[in-house]
Amino acid sequence: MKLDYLKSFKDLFADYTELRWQENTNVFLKLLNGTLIENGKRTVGGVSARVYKDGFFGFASSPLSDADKIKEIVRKAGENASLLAGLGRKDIGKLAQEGHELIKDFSTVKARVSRKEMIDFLRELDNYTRSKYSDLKASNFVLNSLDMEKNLVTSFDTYAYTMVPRTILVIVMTIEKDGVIYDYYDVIGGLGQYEDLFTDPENFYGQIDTMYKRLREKAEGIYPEAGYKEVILDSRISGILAHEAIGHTTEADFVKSGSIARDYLNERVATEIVNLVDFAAEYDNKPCPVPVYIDDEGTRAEDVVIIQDGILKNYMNNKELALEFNTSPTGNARAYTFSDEPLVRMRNTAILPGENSLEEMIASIEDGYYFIDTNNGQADATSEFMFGVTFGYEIKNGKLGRAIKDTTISGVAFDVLKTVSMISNEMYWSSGGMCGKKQMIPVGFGGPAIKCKVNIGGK
Amino acid sequence: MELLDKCLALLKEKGADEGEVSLTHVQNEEMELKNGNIDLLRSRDEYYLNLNAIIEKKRASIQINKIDEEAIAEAVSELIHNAENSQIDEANGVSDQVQERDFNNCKDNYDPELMYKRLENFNKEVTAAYPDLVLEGAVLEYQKRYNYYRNSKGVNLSSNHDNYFFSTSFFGRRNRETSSMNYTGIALENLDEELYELASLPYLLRESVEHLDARIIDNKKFTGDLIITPDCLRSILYSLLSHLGNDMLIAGTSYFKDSLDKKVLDGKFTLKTEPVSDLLAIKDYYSGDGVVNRNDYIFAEGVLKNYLLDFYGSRKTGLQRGPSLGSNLVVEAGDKSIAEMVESVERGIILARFSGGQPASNGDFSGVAKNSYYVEDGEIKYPIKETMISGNLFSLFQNIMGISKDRINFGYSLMPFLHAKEIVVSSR
Repeated sequence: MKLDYLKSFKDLFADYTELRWQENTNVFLKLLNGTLIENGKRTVGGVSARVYKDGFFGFASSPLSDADKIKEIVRKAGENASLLAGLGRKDIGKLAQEGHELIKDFSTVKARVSRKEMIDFLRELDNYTRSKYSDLKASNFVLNSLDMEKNLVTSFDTYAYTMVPRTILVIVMTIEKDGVIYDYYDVIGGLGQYEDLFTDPENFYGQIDTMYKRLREKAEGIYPEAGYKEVILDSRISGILAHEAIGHTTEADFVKSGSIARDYLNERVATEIVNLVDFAAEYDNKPCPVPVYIDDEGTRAEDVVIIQDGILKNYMNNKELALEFNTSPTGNARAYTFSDEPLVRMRNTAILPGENSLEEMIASIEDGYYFIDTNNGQADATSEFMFGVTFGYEIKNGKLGRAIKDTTISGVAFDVLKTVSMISNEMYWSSGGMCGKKQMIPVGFGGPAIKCKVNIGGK
Repeated sequence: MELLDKCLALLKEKGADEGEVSLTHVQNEEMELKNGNIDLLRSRDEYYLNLNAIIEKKRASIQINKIDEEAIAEAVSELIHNAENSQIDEANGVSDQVQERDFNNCKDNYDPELMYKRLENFNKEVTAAYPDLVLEGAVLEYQKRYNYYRNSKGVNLSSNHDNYFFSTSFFGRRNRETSSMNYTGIALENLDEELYELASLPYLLRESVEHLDARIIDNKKFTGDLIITPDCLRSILYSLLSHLGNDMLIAGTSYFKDSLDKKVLDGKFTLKTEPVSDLLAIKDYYSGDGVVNRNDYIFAEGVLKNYLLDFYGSRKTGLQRGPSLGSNLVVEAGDKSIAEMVESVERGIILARFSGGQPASNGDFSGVAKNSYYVEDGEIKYPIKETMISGNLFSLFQNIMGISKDRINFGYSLMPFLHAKEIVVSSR
């Protein structure tokens, strides 16, 4: 922890200043067809200062953290802010300056394992997979951990230390049928270090068996029919809908630019059974996949209720945008590395569970699809979204039918949410999400299964 | 460079049979326009030190961003431990293409006041010319990059290079109507030209405003032609090239497996990698595997001429290391005007942006056609929305009707318009 060291530079702060020491440590291992083709570690750390003056931000950073360098970057950040303030005109007032003290450490308390044990773990998974399923054309096991350790000292007496680790295992299986290649992939893991999540390879054999079964079904499956249909989006997909299609349009910087959500505050944007929240740190008294207790501007992070009973209620913001929107900062200002400035980012965005069972939702559809897995998603200013669907089934007369091959679904989220007629009573959190918006950042998203209407890009 | 020699010596002393070390030093100055204001100036000074060790054919790598003795000693110690505990792979090794080269392309033309002026003019001109356009953001950065590489076989490379990079995102907005987000990025040698005149920007800005009047295609589903714009072609090519890289060739799942010197795509399609092109602002003199890149064909008139494997991938597959790892893509110009391409379309769309996932391994893809136009009987009819397309990546490049003679220079790629056939278009 570097808090005491950073505190010793507080006398240098002439204006609103954030001084952050951050280190990201990333371990990545990749076993392809039994061969370890990646065995690496990346540690990127350093100090940054951000100064706010007359409506302008100056930012400077360095991987070095000796006293002279810290003095230099605090001075440089101030000079950068002054340079812009001298060239332009914009003073919207004083940023919120409420100080907080916080220490939150999610490091494992177990003894750290060696690299050999991690590689052996992957090899055991690979041995199990390839010996049981000898017809696989390729198997790919990727272990990726990211420890984000941050120390923040501000001119307004915020002193915060957080250590938030995430470890995920990505499994990809490939088969060939009639000369055509098919893949299936899954992501396992989430909040925590390796030792807390991957104790025994046998714990994952069941998931590997399910993946192989689905891969085979997909290879035998049908192409869904292109068109506009009634579907069930599984809980693994509805979280991406919450994040990509709704979440981004309700980030205050995007709202200020003119995203579609700007016009809809306090208006109906969904059926009344839809509730959507960006959770800061905890859901149901448990830590979310990416818990944020304090953001990188020093704001204590609060949950943001975005949609309540179908009505758009709030946006996510940072200090400057809170000032412009005449509201309080929500704690959504996050930076990825030490040399990145905080941006308005989501944390753990989820549609809340409803009252229906998945079985009764399937039984209610005469002709449609149950989409279960996705590998990516995108959305834009209009809230139009696209998700790649990697597995699912057709639904005929209230029953699951044949599996489907890869497809894509799309829709305008604020229209699609008005077609939501049933929501399941379960909750699934996706823990491996990385969101790109100038910088990458880990995010969580979750939800139940929802019944709605979307466009399908089949054949 | 003395630091790298010390690192190599330390790797050897601690037990590495082979080692390689590279250092990148980046100085970056970034100015950001957000919601009509230039309100951030960010200065970064970063080091990335990469260390690779091979012990008894077992490999590990580590990257740190510190260059002091203590940090390096700690990293080397951990690296050696990780390599000793890794897995034997006969393909592990460091480049033996021994060269001592120093590439220099620094202009040292950082000018913060000119950056401010160009960015301010961009904001003023675009706002005045397109009142219904929202500039979501624009970033102008100057980057100076020093690279150094050494390995235990005697390869000794260094380069320095600087350039500007401009990126912007925008969309149309009128009353309650919003058009899809659009964006582009351009690398520049200097700031001689105004930003709003660069590359495809005039076309993209106009397109975003026109899409405020976008319509759902009347014809709900049809099979037709596709004219892919330069911005969109660049992103689609990355999917195609993933079949020429390490992962898919080592796994044996590449569509282009065993296809070297075979005609696999349409004869009208020629694609080159030009890492040291005079035409492009970005230079990619050598890659992280310590091999000097060269300009060469990837596909020549539809014939696969080179894979894009790195040194390890080359040894693992027994194929040649690529001329580059896929940098600075240049598609050879065709002989059609864009007007001629449109005139030859009976029914189809101009695809300006594709919002879709990575195509399946068999090349099948589907996604949303963004910022695109409906074309019928040789005429652009109207901008479209909520339209999906599906097809096959490889079929697309095997059925090319024409390539434009005009190309867009993005500074890191040179792309024409490309006309292909047989795509399924569907709308709500």
